Amino acid sequence: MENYLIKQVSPRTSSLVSLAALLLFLPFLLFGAYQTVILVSRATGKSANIIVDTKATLEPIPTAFYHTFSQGGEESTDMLAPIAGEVSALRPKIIRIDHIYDHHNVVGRSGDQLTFDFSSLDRSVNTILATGAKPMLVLSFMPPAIAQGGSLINPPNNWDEWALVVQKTIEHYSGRSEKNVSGVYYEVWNEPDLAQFGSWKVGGEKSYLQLYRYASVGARRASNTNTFYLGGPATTGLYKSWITALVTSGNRVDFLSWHSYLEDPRRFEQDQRNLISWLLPFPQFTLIPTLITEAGFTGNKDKRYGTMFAAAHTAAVVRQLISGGPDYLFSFQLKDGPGQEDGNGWGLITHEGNGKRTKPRYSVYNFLDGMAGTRLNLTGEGTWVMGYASVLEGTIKVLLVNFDPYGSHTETVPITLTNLSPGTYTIRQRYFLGQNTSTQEIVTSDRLKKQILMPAQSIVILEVTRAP
Amino acid sequence: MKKLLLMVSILVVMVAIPVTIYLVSQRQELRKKAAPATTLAFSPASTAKAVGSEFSMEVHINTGDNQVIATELHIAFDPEKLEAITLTNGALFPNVLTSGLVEAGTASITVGAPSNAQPVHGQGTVAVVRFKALAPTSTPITVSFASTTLVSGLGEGSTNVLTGTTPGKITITGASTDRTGPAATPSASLSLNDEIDASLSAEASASAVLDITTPTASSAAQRDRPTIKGKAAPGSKVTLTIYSTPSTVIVTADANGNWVYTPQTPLEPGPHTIVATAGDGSDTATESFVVATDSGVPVSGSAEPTILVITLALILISFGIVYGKLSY
Repeated sequence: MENYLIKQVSPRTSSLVSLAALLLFLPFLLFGAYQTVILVSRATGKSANIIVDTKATLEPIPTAFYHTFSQGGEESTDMLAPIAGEVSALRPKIIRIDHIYDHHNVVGRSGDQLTFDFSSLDRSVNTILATGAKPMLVLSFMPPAIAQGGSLINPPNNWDEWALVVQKTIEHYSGRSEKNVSGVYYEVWNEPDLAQFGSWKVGGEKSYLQLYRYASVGARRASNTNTFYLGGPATTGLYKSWITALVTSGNRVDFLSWHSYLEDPRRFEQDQRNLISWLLPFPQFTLIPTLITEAGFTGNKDKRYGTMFAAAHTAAVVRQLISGGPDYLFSFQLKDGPGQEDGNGWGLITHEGNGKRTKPRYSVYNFLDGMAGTRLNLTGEGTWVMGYASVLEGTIKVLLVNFDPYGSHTETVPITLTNLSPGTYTIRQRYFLGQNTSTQEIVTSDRLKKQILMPAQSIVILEVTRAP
Repeated sequence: MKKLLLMVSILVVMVAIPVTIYLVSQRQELRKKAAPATTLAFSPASTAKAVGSEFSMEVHINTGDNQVIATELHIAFDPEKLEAITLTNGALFPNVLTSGLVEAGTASITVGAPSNAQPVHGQGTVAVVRFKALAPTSTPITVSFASTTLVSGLGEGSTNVLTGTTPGKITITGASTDRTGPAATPSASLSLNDEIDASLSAEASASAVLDITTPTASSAAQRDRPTIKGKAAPGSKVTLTIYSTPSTVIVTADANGNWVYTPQTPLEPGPHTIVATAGDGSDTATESFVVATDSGVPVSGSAEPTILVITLALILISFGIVYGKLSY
């Protein structure tokens, strides 16, 4: 065969073929080399060596800010009704829903007049209120009865009609003579910058500021209402141009909002620092409430939402935002949509058609509440292991989370508590969704040292109490 | 002509009234907006502390006529003399807008007033910084406000209403009289290191001669915060200076003559030298060591050189094949 080929194929041709084959496989070889280097690089990083100064007290630990949740509109029904009990157990402060106009047929038209029917939306809002939470209603999307071309993502034919829709919505839920709910949040649109939701821009032909302005006009016209809050821009990320445009627009802005789907928890903290630096030149907005109205590690459906990965990521994000963080962090989302039996849904709970099962991330919020108290100074965090410490009524608590995006890093973490008084201490170690152990130890000096084994994506709380 | 004059007069009056109203309102706005008048100072203004002691300094604000909404604080100090342990908000500013960040030589935090309806007006504490005295000073050192410190006030726009700052002065004396831990414990007693290895207390020192036992020149590449151990006369003070960028700390040998220190700040990769000096200056010991990457793992190789070598190799192979085939 080889001799036959040599005879039939000219040397020049065979050279060209050889060269072509090499060039074809070159990218694969380079990619393989690159991946090898990346794999080796993942092995580097800094191990944690945690030191907690038990006398260095800081500010109170906030525990309410992460008890807020978003629910997307994968169904047009009241998605939360089947899981109301499970949602109540999360002790939610605010629950956010969007698609309030298009999924619930709120706005109609009779001749030249707009008609309003909130009965379907009321069912969803009633469910939210029954869980103990306040509703956040995302003013979305454009009711077909008033939209250009009847499209949900287009501006209205008449901007005054959009203002009227917003006015009627606020009067219905916040109005003292109607639903009479106090403290409702109204967010103008959802992810306006996304093509799926209209590709609105800060200015120009399809201006979000114009959309917001007429919403604020509607809010101003709403009468006989309880306290309510209007804000935005609910963009896919935190963007300076959108934030500064909104705060300088001259409209009523009661809160600023954006979405964060970031795998690196530390970016959440950096976003907060950036935001404050943008707001400092605007003193009247520096203290404005800030809300991350959708948060997760990816905006795509991902099976990791059903694993400890999501729980560890949430704990790591809370750690990054425990001081100087937003007013509220809304985890997306409470319940899977239908047909996600392969486990790639965003939800904390699977759809009732898939067993209505809670996923690991569901339990992390109440677990983190165990850290309530006054924050203590903690140093020595590593690349993967991070944490925070607190003291409450004499019990010192240290929370550690080992979050590894690649899912393989295990670490034995040394923890030293300094400035202790000598005595007998009870040490309780509580692993998230895992084992609890309790030991006693006599401390003769001013410090206590422990070693904690932390598998990848593990979360643990160490509680240390001195016997009287 | 008379009619024309009358019309002109009416026109002038019609224009003058709104213009006058506008000008008056502008002057009123100017009266509401106060000139920047806020000052910051440390309290106490000056203090003396012993090496190894921990102490707090408050940052005080006097807002003058300003209605202060937020303060972005940047503090600078000598990292060889002082270590900032924590920086937290004061009572006057309950909102922590960005959490306190302490690093070698700097500390920063941004704090906010209770609300826009309750801006800060008057005097009080903005923040509290907790320091540790690292080394004695021959003259008082200053803790100052960096030029990036900013105070914002309602009605002032983006203007920094901070008009003046007063640094604090600290004198650090050589002997520590402010130990926080028990002095009689048998474990290694360190004035500057938070990492005590209790097992060291079990080793009896055979000699009171000053020595650095680890790391040494023959040691493997170290992590960026290597554990430095040595021996000295029991209870004596040893001054450690670590080069390349010199940093100096003082440790105390325990009852068995052992001392240990781990740098708080990671060392840069590369060669370093430790010089240990006995407290009375009568003896010194020197050792050199190498710090590998910040994780202590040797560099595995970056992607770019690898890719370049592979590409060159493939080009050579290609030429070889082509040349060989052509020759054949």
